[in-house]
Amino acid sequence: MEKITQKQDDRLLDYLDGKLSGAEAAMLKNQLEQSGSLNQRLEELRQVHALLAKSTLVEPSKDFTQFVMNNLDKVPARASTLSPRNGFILLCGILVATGITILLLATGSFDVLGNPIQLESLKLPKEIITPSLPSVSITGKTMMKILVILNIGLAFLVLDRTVLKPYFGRKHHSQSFS
Amino acid sequence: MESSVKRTVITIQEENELIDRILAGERQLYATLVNKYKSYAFTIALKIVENKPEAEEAAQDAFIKAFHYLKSFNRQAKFSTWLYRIVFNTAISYKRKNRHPFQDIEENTVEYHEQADSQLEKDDKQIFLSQAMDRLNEADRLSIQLYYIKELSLEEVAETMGQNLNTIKVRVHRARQRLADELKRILKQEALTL
Repeated sequence: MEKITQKQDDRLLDYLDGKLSGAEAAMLKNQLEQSGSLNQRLEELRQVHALLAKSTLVEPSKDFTQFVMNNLDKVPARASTLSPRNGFILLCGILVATGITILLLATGSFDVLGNPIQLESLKLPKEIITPSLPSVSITGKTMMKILVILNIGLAFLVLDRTVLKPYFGRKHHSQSFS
Repeated sequence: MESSVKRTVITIQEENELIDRILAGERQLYATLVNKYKSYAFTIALKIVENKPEAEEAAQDAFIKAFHYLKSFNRQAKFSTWLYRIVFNTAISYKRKNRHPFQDIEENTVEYHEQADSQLEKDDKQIFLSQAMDRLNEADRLSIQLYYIKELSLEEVAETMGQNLNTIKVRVHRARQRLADELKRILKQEALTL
């Protein structure tokens, strides 16, 4: 059986779309009369074309316009760069990190970092330092506590943006749709 | 729910005048534009997100965005094309954001009705077509689905998807050729199992 080339296939589709000129269409019809396989291919493509052409417009819910008009003042929601899945993974990561830090704090792992930082012991060029530097008392334990608090805040933020807001937003929308 | 509602008929010139009045403060007139394009917007969004509530949300969000950016609408382009592009991008964002990788098997249960048999036979080819459609890549599938939405030209599909006209033409041609091949293969297989 004669093989149909890509060019012939394209021509058949242009024919179905009505995009061939009178002369081109006549030439194709002539080829169709002579070639059984070209005819068969046209039928296959025509079948797909007919099935696809059956697709119709779908109407949204009755209160679609009303919803839009009632919410015109809302600032359009910007798409979050975090998908719920990625947000959930990030949330788990933050919670695990926070958990480990709290555990380490509880077991006293940061107690050894409790000495004040002696800025005087730093070897800096004399011209930079005129007065004597004070000793700042920042303990590792305090820093870890601050980090834990920040982590918990971040976890709440991620939970809100990626899980709670999309969930309640969808729920509210499903109710107005049904 | 198929399209049965009579759509508002307004010319491009009337549409531009309407946009001027909306921009001048008569915001209630925006409802005319929403009514005119809501089915198209919803259908485009539905083809992308494949879920009715999400498609509705995306289409509404797109209309709200379009209202906020109406000032920046370039009158040389058609309002519809500009709007469809917003709908397309919004729906793509929704799809990325709300991917559903896991589907409950129970949700996919097909209920058997004797009366449905003849309808099933009638719709067989349509079912085979959707099976074949699933085998296309997403860009090809969307190109062909948008192209077959009533009254959308290749140019409009290209502008909506933000792609080159030739690329879309190739995608639409290639998708139909693949669908024809796939449909032939499925029908052959079906004939063998009978």
